[in-house]
Amino acid sequence: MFGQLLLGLINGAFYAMLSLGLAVIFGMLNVINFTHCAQYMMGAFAAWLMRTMLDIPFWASLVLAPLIVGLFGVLIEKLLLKRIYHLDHLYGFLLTFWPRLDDRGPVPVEVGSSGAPYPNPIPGGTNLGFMFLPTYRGFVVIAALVVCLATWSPSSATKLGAYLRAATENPTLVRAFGINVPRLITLTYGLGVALAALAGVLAAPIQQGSALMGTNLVLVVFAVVVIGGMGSIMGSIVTGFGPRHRRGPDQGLLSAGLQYGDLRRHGHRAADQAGRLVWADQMTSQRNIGLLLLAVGAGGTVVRLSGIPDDGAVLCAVRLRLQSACWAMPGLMSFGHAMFFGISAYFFGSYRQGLGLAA
Amino acid sequence: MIAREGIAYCPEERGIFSSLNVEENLLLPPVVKPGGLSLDEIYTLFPNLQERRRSQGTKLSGGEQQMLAIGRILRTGATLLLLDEPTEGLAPVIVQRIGEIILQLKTRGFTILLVEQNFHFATAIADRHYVVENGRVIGHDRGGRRGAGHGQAANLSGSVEMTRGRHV
Repeated sequence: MFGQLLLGLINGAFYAMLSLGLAVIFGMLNVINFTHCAQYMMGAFAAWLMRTMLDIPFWASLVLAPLIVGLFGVLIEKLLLKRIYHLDHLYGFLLTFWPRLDDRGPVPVEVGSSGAPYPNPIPGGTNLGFMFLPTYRGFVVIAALVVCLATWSPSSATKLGAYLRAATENPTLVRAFGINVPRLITLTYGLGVALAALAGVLAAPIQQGSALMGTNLVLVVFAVVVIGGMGSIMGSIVTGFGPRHRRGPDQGLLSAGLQYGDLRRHGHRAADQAGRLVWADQMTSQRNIGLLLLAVGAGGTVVRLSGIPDDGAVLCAVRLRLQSACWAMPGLMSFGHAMFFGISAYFFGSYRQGLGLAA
Repeated sequence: MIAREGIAYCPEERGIFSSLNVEENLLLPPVVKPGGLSLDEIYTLFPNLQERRRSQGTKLSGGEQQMLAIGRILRTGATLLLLDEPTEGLAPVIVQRIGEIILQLKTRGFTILLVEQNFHFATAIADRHYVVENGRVIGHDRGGRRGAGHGQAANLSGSVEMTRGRHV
């Protein structure tokens, strides 16, 4: 079980970093950066290109690739995104869709669809008793943790974090105080993109850069951000690292808990927004459903831990129902709903499989 | 940028950031010129803000939020303060306190442009005032004289007052 846990943690490292970048961008810009996973791929490819063409070692590209891809992100922001901030976030979603379609483009032509090999910069591993841990993967987990915490603590502690939070809430007033909000926004987008690229560079030795590497992750990354509470940075980190897969009730517990915490913190802000007063009612009922989810999840976890034979399928079904009821509320993006429902179905199915029930 | 010219704005709805606590709200506007009040001086002026410094900004009462909104812009070094309806929705006791504060700011040398519906409040503290109805200036006066304009008070849609402090 610990082996599984550790493997999950390693995979979680990437999810956490990617969703962190996405959450930062969404929280600040209210734009769903659909190119996020393409930028992850770009990070890996920048590292690969630098290595094959310029002989730049891994450690240098760990710094350079995010910078380059981040700069590219800044360009996107200045030329394109800036023009649509006043619109609904679905437009941002549509706009960032186009760079994602490059699984047909120049990248597979260059490297073929099976992927570009990248040598492991820290070969070898240690035997931990319950599993054999490749050293590089251990490094990845630590690096991801460091990066995530380094990004999270400024946004909750320092002056810059205060600027970001205030600018998200009332950008006009912050601008009236003399703070250059447009530049703050541009840099935030660049940072989010750089984080994705960093994850890509870290992934290169493990995942063999292919054009589709981002696509495989994108669905789960979006699920992580949505569960963690859109715009909530800590939520994304925790959910990214947290339990996934064969843990139906635990998943419910985690997501409900995070949702509840996030609603408490942000519910007042949602209620403040003029013209979106309907959110306040939804927040209350969402909170109640979140509490119910919490109860179901807690109950399920208790049952599992105590070893009582349980009909996990029933718990899963209950959780699924509650979750769809929650996400079906109007005002939440239909994208999030549909996608999250799909994710839930996946977990539900895999849990059933784990229990040996009919697929 | 207007703020860098030394003009600070205190909005009608106060604009307190709910995701920041009181102290963060106070520290947010950047210092654009020397000569602003320090954080300690602001706390001396508004001792009740010091008590609540870690509270979330929007958990304060209306009067406290107004003091926070005014205190926020004092740190920046701006010399021209634009106050938009500072007494709106406040209890008479607090309104009096706000009036005292504005008078204190006047003696410190701030120039204040005050937009107020409360005619009595405004004329009591203003050096000069202009009465505006439907966008037109219909009257103006110097000093705190109230008698002549009293009858017009009921028909007012708004009045603009200026208090000119000493320029240091």
